Amino acid sequence: MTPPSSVIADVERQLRAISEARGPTTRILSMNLVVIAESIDIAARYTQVVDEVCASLLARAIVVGLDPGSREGSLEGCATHVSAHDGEKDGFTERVSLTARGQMCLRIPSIVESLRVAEVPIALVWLGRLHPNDAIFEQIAERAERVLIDSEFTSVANLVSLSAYARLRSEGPYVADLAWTRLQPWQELFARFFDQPEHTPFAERIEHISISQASPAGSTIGSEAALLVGWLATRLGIRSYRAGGALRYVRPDGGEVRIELLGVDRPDGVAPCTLAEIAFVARRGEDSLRGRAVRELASGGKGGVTADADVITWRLVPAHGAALEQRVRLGANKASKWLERTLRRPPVDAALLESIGFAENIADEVVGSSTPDL
Amino acid sequence: MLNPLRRGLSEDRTVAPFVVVIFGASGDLTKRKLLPALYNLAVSRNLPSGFAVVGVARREKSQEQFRSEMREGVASFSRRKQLDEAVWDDFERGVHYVRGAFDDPATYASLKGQLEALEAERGTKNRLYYLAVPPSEFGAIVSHLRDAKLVERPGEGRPVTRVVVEKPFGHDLASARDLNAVFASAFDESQVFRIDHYLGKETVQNLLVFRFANSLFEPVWNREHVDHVQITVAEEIGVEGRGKFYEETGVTKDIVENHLMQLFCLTAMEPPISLAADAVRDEKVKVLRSLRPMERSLVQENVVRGQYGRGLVRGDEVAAYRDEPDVSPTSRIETFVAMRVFVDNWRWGGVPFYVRAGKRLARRVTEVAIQFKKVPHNLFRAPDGGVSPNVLAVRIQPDEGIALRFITKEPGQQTILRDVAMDFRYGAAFGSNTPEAYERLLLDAMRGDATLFTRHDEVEEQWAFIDRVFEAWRAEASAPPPVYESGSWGPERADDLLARDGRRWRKP
Repeated sequence: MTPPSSVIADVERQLRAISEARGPTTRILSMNLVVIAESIDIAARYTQVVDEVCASLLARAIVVGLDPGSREGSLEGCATHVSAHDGEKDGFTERVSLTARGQMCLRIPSIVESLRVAEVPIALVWLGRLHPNDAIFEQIAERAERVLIDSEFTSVANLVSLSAYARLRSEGPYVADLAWTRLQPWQELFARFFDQPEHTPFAERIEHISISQASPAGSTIGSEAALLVGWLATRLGIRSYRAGGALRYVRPDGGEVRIELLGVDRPDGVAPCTLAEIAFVARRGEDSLRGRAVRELASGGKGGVTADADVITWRLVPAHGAALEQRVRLGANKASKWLERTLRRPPVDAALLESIGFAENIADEVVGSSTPDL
Repeated sequence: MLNPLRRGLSEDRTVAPFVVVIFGASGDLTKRKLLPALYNLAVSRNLPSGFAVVGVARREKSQEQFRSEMREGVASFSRRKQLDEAVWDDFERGVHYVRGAFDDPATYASLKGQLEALEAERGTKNRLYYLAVPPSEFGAIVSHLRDAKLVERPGEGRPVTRVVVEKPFGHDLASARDLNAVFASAFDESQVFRIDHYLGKETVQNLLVFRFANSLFEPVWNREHVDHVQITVAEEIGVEGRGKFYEETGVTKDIVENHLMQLFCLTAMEPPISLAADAVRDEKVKVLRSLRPMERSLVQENVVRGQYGRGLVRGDEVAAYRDEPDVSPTSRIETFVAMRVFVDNWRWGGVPFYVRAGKRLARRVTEVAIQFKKVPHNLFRAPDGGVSPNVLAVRIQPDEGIALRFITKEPGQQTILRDVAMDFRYGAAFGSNTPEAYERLLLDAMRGDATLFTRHDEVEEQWAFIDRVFEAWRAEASAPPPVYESGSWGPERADDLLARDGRRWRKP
């Protein structure tokens, strides 16, 4: 078995060769992007995503595929350069790929430590189910500025445990979730319903919210939908309680809020639990305000933009005056885009942490099948 | 009451619904910059429903024609290469055209009708007037807007009215004051947004971040450590068919009075107490007031003019300024100016700022270069006699970025010194598809954030300084500006300006 120090020495030689090939120029590095995948196969599939992100963020990527169940302990590694911005001449960075099997997996934190670039922070992306007491996770996370997961592919519970882990440490890491980043356009569109001064007071008088996701009736609520409910509730001061097992929601003024979670058909090519619609009704006295943002699932291809850049039709119906309608397009649904956007967001995100706290209460809710009666 | 759902939203850039009324809607600026910028804001979901654009111009054209021209402009000039039909269709429904002369009250009656219709249809009460017209039209437009009751003074619960004005803000101090008075007759100063698109550039904004978010640089940003500062705004292009305009302006009024002085302000100003618009602008005004007045006797010693002659630019033969269309063959207009200016305050006392701007120069480049003092004692006996000083260059365009020149030892037995540059490029670090200056500035104007816009007193201070230079030029015997070869770095006398101080211009 090749000792890890020899593998590291080989990787370092390759990194030096990459640096020399680049010539006598300086460069910018903004972070170490450390990606730990719970399988070698996942790491291989995610490599393209990492390359796209590194090219734009100028990070040194260290992508690690783990096979902890292997009887043989082994470590392989190589370094390759990643050119940035479609070959733009001065963008240049590199990726280190490591594969660890068996007992060698436990040495990954030490190996990452020797291969990281000094002076720039570590962003740790954990691909797979995360156990905060995992020895590999703990050792890397304690040096990381932030830890990123995609709770849509693990679970809200996983996000909750990551958040609890971070909360216990006085110096981070900060928590980020790609599912939360994907919610941003929905948050923006929902907030927009109440931007006009005459509509703002209705935010405190919402009676009914309906959220639809692309999944069969009876399936568990997705992470995005759960976080969206959490975000809405924490912004509006809505509390939840159970009565006979059923979840109920109450506004700060004591009024009941009905939050309906629904499943809609999932067209081909659309990811499970993709958010499809959000609608609400609010009433103040005799006046009402109704709003709905409907995603045309799989409509992106029709616009000739990208396969998944769907259109959302946003519609607001006030009690008085004309209805307002707007069509906006979501950005392309590419894994690299969500990772990059998440990495570009400010690391401290109080709204995420508050929303996680609320989402925990509804994580095991199932979606219904009726159409929203708004 | 604040919208509770806006609390903590990380990309809180959306504005309240506005109608953007563009005066001069058939001009190039509308087609090349304004509509593409607004469309890009729509694509990035920064514009709310109810947003609308009303173009006002003299030319007879139907609404469909106007929409079609704007679509063509967006398709050609947007930074996003492919027009998004779904977004455009939605955006286009809010695009309207009003035909009329700017000095005709009937135009404003039609505009009022259009705005009322939009308010009824879309609930859009807020208005942003964009004056993409020559300054000679400002007075008529502002007074007619006021008389037609199309301007709402600021107040709690009232719809918002703002006006964006394109440069030039006058042609001297008196006219700038007149213009400010014209705007003040209808608008509160908080409603007036004087746009200088240079301030919308990422690197210009980054000057503030660079100076005040890094503890490394601010302690050496003063007379103790800085030898001198050079600010260059160099263009390769000539007047590009704008001979008539240039004959009335020249490079000093076209570039120095606004773009260059804004770069100077951001370089030389003291830290503001906050990033609030007036806190930043107060500091800019202070530094303008600290400029040593260019008395008539000082102008000849500290200011050099030039006018481009024939030459080669990027390998192409180009004509002399006087051979350009609509330019007088005996023109005395300057297409190049270089100045040595001093800031008489504690930070900069005795440090010269060399600034230059010109057309048909060797390369297109805009940069601010801080040249630090030499080391007090040279330990290294370099064959060329010394150690070159450190230079920090902030490049505004092209290749926006920051370069730091410093000295290292060449590997080997001997101590041989070598200049090297650490070169940070925005495009490489963050990608090149960043929002254009007009996107940022239009959004800021709709949000009411005036930080990147020029205040009335800034404009007046800028003109007060420039006016003295013109007074001296007018008083000079009628010597025309010296001709410099196109493709050079300006007239030789510009080199002398620094050579006298034992310095030389950078060749960026």
